Formats: sequence, structure tokens, C-alpha cells
Amino acid sequence: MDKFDDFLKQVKTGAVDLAMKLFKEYQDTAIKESETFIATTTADLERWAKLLITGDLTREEFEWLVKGKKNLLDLHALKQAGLARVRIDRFRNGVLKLIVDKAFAVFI
Amino acid sequence: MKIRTLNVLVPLMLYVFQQGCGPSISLFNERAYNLATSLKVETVTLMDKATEPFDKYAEQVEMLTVNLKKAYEYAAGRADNELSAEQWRILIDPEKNLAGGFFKRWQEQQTLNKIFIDEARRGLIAPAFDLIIGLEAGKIKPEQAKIVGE
Repeated sequence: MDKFDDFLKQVKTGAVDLAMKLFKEYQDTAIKESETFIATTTADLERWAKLLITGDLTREEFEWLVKGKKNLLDLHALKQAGLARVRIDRFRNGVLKLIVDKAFAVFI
Repeated sequence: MKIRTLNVLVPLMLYVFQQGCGPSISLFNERAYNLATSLKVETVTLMDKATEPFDKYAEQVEMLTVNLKKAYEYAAGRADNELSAEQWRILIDPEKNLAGGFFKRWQEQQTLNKIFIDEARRGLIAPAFDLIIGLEAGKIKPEQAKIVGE
């Protein structure tokens, strides 16, 4: 088989494997972290509602805390967006290394 | 090496090198990480004082506020770091309801309810810092960013 065809086949296979591994890892992590964030937020809101009912929090304090949760959600979204970019960079770096490694292995 | 190989391999390598040279997000920065972790401790510690009159701690709050702003400026000054910078901006914004808003509230009301302080710390401020720290910790370490022969 032509060396170049062999090189392309190895790079393609390696790139697909890398993509599946990295993006599945990201997907699993993102889902898990978001589920945790939702669970924690729900628990906090329930606790604050109870504190409001008992008078340990005023209505205005309760509303302040709830609005703070919206700000926290923004930070969570920024973190997830950042980690997605990290995955892209890891994939890009991985493919580059793959091309160089395979080129040396096949042609040299 | 055959001409066909060179005609395809060279442009492919050039394309990938060009794509691979520019990161989409900054690398992990140890100073940024340490800033975030230490400022988290300083902030939640000072929050606990909010049951006392603000004026007693005004100077400490001012110093902490300056240090939080420095952390934001440091984040904003790094290339490809706009997401982390935005996190810091939201955290320190006195018009929002995280660290900046908390200290503004303390100043306006002079003392705050202990239960409110505990819930703000536990449910908002500490997790906010954790999200900033978590993003920084998740970035590629500089030594891992090296490809080949670097």
C-alpha cells in the first residue's frame, strides 16, 4: 500500500478515536457537574424557603439570595464554556501530535 | 518522497500547525489559581464579621475589594482568558449578588443577619470561588501543551 495512504488511514483512525474519547469525557463531566449544580441549587432554594417561613430570613434577604443564584448560574455556564474550549484545544494538540508521530513512523 | 505525498502532506501540516498554534483558551496559570484560592479564604473569613458594624471593618473590606479587583485585572490581562475574567467581573460587581454585592449590602445596612451571612457564604460566595478555581484548574498545564520537540 502506498505509504501516504497508510499514513492518512492511521491519522484518520487516531483522530476519530481521540475525538470520541475527549468529547465523551467532556460530555460526561459536563452532565455530571450540571446535575450537581441543579441539585445543590434546589436544596439551597428549599432551605431558604423554609428559613423565610420561619422568619429567619426576611423576604428581601430571600430575594437577594435567589438573585445571587442567577449570578452563580452565569459563573457555572462560563466554567462549562471554558472547559469545552479546553477539550477543543486538547483535541487539536492531540491531532497535531498524531500527524507528526505517524509521519515519522511511516515515512522515516 | 513522492511529489503527490509532498503536495498533500505539506499543506496539511501547514494547516494543522496554523490551527494548532492558537489556543482557544489560556493555559493554566499557577498565580491565578493561588490568587483565587487565597481570596476565597479571605473573603469568606471577612464575611463572618458582617454581624458587627461595617465601619469597624471598613478598611479590611476596602483592602479585600482592591485585591479582588486586582485578581480581575490579572485575569482580564491574560490572552484568551475572557471567560475567567468574566467570572471575576460578576463576582466582584457590587450591583450583583455575590462578593461585591455582599460587601455593598453590609456597608449599606451596617450589620447583617447571621443566618443570611451563613447562607450567602455557603450557597453563593464559596461556590462562586469554586467555579472560578474549577475553571482555572481544568485548563491545560503549560507542560502538557508542548507538542513535539519543544
